Amino acid sequence: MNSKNALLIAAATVLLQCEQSDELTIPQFPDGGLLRSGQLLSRDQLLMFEGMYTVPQGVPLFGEQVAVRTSPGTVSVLSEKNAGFSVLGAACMPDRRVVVEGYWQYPMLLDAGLVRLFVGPSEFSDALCDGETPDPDTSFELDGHFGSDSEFPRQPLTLRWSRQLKPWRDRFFTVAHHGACENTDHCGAAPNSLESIRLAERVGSNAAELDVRITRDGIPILFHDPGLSRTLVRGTFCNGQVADLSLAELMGSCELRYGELIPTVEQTLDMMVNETEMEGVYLDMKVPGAVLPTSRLVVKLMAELEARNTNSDPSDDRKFGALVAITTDEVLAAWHETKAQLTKEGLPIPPCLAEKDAETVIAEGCVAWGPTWTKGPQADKVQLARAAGAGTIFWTINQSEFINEFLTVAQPDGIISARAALLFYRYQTIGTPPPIRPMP
Amino acid sequence: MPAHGRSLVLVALAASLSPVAAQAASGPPVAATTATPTVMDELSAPPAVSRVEHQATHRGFTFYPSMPELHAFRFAVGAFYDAIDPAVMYGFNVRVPQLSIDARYGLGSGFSLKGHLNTMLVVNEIMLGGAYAWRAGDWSIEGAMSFGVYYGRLAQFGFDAAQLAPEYRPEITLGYDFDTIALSLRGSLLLMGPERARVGDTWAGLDNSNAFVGHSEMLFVENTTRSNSIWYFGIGAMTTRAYYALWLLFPDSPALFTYPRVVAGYEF
Repeated sequence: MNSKNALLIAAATVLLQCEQSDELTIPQFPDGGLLRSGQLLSRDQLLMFEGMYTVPQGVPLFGEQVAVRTSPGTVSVLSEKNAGFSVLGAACMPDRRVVVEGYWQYPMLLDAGLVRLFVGPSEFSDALCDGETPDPDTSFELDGHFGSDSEFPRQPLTLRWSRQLKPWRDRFFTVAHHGACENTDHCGAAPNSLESIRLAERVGSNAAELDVRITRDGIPILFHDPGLSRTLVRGTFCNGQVADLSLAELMGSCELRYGELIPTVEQTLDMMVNETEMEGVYLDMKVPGAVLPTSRLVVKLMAELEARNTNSDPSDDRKFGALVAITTDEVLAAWHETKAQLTKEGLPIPPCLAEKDAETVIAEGCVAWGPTWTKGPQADKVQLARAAGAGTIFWTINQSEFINEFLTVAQPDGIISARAALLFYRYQTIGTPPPIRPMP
Repeated sequence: MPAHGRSLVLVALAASLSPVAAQAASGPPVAATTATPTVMDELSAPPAVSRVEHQATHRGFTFYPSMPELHAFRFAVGAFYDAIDPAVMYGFNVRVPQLSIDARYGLGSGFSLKGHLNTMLVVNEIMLGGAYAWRAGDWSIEGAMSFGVYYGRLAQFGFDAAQLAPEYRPEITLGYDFDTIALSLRGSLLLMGPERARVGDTWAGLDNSNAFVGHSEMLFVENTTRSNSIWYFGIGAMTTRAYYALWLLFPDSPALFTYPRVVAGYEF
């Protein structure tokens, strides 16, 4: 009997299948494409591409309308279809055509391909190649082709400028949920990695929500889980709890999903401020022990930004808000201790966000409320917080119908989402610009 | 039911009443013995049909293809556990076993009604359907179709949310009779929709919802006992979309995820 049961168990075990972990390779033009032979457009020139565009050709890819926004070196096409996006570069070529090319992707699927578009009519490309920044009008279009996977783009795609974007910089926060994508997506960048934050900006985010834990030697780092599970990290000796390892041990033993290193909060703030145009970060305190060291880093950053913004050189001005997010009662207690300690040292208190309720936001003097969306839009509470001068940033809405509801019913100051392209597009089509900036 | 099957039922019924009588009815006369058989002798005497066949044609099993008698009833209480990859839902590691209740009601002629309920309070599925089974030697097969409701609700931990969807579940089960142990391999198609989700007062649909939410392949081992009750365990693979496995609104990936399921329980 026992041997028979053992045989049956063995047979059952054979039935178990392992998940097929398909990974997507982001397609690239061979030899760098046409961008390599052209003169890249300046940051100011890229700004002229921003707007809402109709799609006379190529509706199957992105739908009938898209939003286009830009970041340093990048033109991003953002759509509601499968939360799809396209990340493109733009350059003036020797023949005075302006090429806009790169890749498109549906982040939840294994679908991606190449895109190559050209600016038209020729007076716009001539002006851009002459170093000018013309104002777009309804004749301005991007015309070319897209393809699937690595095949050369052959399917027609035309984007025609239709109107300016609604105000979003400094107003509405499309907050990347621990980076550009979910664990289950295929973005080529692991959550809570520097690469994912860079990608988040290119796919439509102007802020990021990041998870903070503390190493054994007291260094705040970005990592979601308490443990180093196989789903998030790689490395033979990368085991155990984050809090049990020193930063050096983590750096030496662990890699994230795509080979990235686990970043420290200090590295992250430095990268976001100096390498992106992101406007803010929502530092989600996963453990009470992270509050004081993280707050010190935010205070240091605030001082640096103030120095930059008050010196005589306006070219290095930078507006960036870093919020210490109070997530639990334990973190709230640590926040109180942190405030006392910083006050004792004569340091300013960093701006905070409270997740619990609008009343806590007001009581703690926080600048923002971060309610979970799973209690509904709570429009009255959003107004209560706003009346007290605090913004509201819901976490974490990825479902399109709910994004619509929250944008129209609650009219928040921001939403955390892993579907930045979809959220940005929906804000531009049905959203209402909030009256105040929710981050300092 | 084939004549052979009917005779098996009669023999099994007779065996359930009296193993000696059953033996007399199904085979050559019992050799005369000098001592009167004791109750223990009767219990330990080999039945005319296997215990599995006896159960399958008498009260029926929960999982093994069964042709229970008209009005026969089988009731099972158990639990199962899904080891879902934490990557599916933000590294959330807590996985709670679910209570399961199954029932089978005999309609005769190989047909039966089947009911199933599983719950961990925040996730509930209730299914009701019909099945037809057929037996050939030690092998048997059963086809079933069930309809039901998937309902999840959570009003704690920062949630005021629910999900509701009808379910449709065709299944086919292949069984093998190991005399006292019934082995069943069951394949299920998990069909669901349309899904509706609520947060606060807001109802909406889910992105990437699909009528095909997954499939499962389970191997069940049901062990007969002399008291007509059965204990069972099983193991298998669930391959489902994230919103079926974890309705809590976060996982919006349209991908199918595979995870193991282990089950165990007792059939009365």
